[in-house]
Amino acid sequence: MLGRAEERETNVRVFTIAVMLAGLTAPALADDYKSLPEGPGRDVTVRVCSQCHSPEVAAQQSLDAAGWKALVDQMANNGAQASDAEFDTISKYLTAAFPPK
Amino acid sequence: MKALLKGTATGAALALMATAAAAAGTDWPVSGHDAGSQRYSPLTQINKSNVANLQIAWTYHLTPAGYTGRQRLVESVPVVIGNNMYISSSYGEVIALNATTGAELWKYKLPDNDTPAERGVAYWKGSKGFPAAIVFGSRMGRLYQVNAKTGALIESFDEHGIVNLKTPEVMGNTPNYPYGQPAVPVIYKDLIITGAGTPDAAPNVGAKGDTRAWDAKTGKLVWTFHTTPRPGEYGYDTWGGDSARNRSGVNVWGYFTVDEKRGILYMPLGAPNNDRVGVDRPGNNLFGSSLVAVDANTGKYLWHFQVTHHDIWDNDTQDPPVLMDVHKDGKTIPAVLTVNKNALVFILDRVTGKPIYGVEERPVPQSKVPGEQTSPTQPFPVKPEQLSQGSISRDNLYKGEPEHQAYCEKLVDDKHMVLGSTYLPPGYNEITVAPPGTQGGVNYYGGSFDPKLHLFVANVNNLFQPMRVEKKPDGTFANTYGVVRFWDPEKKLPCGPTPWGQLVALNVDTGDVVYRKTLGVTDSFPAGLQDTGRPGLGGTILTASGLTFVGATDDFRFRAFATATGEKLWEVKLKASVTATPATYKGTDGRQYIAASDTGGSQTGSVVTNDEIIAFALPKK
Repeated sequence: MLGRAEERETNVRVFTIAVMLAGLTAPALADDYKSLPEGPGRDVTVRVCSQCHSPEVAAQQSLDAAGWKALVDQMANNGAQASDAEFDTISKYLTAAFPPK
Repeated sequence: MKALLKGTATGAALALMATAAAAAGTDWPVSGHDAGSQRYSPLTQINKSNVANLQIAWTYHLTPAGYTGRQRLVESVPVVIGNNMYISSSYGEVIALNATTGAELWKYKLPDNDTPAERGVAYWKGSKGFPAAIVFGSRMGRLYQVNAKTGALIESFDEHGIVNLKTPEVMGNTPNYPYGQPAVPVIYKDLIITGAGTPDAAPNVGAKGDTRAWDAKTGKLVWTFHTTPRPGEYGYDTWGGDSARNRSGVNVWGYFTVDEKRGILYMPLGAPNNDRVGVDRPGNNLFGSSLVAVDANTGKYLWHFQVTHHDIWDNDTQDPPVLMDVHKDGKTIPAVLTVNKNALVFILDRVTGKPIYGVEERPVPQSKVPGEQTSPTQPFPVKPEQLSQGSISRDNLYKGEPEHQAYCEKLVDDKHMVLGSTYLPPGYNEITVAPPGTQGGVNYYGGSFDPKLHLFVANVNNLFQPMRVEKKPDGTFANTYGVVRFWDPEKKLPCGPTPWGQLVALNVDTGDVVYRKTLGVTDSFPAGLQDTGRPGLGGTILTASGLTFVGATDDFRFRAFATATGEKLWEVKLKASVTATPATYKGTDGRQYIAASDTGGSQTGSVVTNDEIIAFALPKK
């Protein structure tokens, strides 16, 4: 259910994400957010999310597209500042980077 | 900095503007009304007998022309100087309005898609050869100064009106890490004093949280206070090994206050990074989650009071420290009050830092996270009592509406949540709930003080925060439970006992709570069960006519209470929740106005549904 996305358990995701990232992470990143794989939208995700918290918090979640959209919408209500297009880009990046287990 | 675009100031009414001159007692010249942040106005036109007649006098839409995106949270506290209102907007602008009519005077659009500090702006009265200015930080870590009359950047201020605060001194070897300015700068004489925005839950190293003072004329750095001590400095030995080195966090992200007479600056400092795991920073970690007093002229350390030792709860001390006189045992004591997310109220002699009502170091539970060296004790005030709920158990979860009651019991049971009290550490491979938590108690908006009634008044939240620490593949630890409150997130119904929000008044001369009033309603509940209180962000303001005004809660209500008794005198339902602290002032038409941002949105569940600044006044005669 879409609205429940933020409540989903994380359980062993940190371990499985690490395995996933081993194949995704590019060799050189512009920052030290090693848990965020390269991909379209990574830059805007780092820029927008890091205004309030580490963007690597995202790496602790595993959600489907609806779940990530709900979470990004929640962040917009919390005060995250970006254009609609940027929020959409962030949702797509997170969906690709951290899909459901 | 010359590469920066300069931004643009626009304003059709520039020629009509009068010189802004602060009118004593009738303006709202800083976010907290006065340097001590009492948020108490001497205005009395709106009183107990007529407050129910308040009407919306004007509204101003913050959405810029041509903007088609989603609406945004704006929580800026209006600053009013001589009928000019100044606000920061999350649409990337600083705006000046006619405070009596709401007519736009000018707008300054920040360059590079930058946005001004969300908590507001400051006013510097200027000096010979230097015009009065509006001063504000930004999300990109800049400090701007624009002409208060025109909105144009002031060329003489550093590089064409902008100081780049992301200097090597604070960015260290992580120049590309985020660093912003959520806090409102404080003006003291001709100094602009800035905090720091170092993101929560961040890597342990990164931008430093130092407090700095800048020459208001030139933008040149005058002094720096190292909020995390460097080797050889006082407090460095409260960090195990070299764990203070390159440590991020320990920053002012809310509101400073100043004792202008004594020249003392009070800094409410946040937790060190990481704010949920302190394995790599053994010790008490000064000046993390501490109230620190320094000489405002020089930044020299005077005293500190640490609210939370070795903070692993993200408690912070972000509320504006409120300055007041306490009358006790026949003496008048210059005091400062700090209350924060843990809702523990510490009333201190503001010259010495000594507690007025006593403080006890009490044993607290210890963390199970390997290597976490929890402080064996934490400070608790002997008085006053904790302003919010301070514990939760399986027996006192929410009771009332049957479906929600069942939801909460199932939530706790299914997830095997460990319920406890304020200093229960974040669980290791298990979920703990330690009220009030990072969205409970009194957040950055703080409280207000009525010097006639000797009452401190604040709205408090009982919305808790589950936490769970797990080991990551790299061997370090992190809170992995995400942005989850202790509630049903779909219905936004907390699982602790009601009230979920309260208005609380405290007599500072006795240390006693004199009343608690439920603040907010749950419209989705059946009649008879709606009086739950609601969480919210945004503070109270008080008037000399004995009124308290507050929005904050996510139920779209804005209200007035009798400050002495907590009796509700007036309430209006708006287009959005007022997730902001209001301001009150006298307009050029002689009427008293109450103005606030009314956008909705917050980290306590409110949704953005509007884009207005609204102002209330009594009907014209």
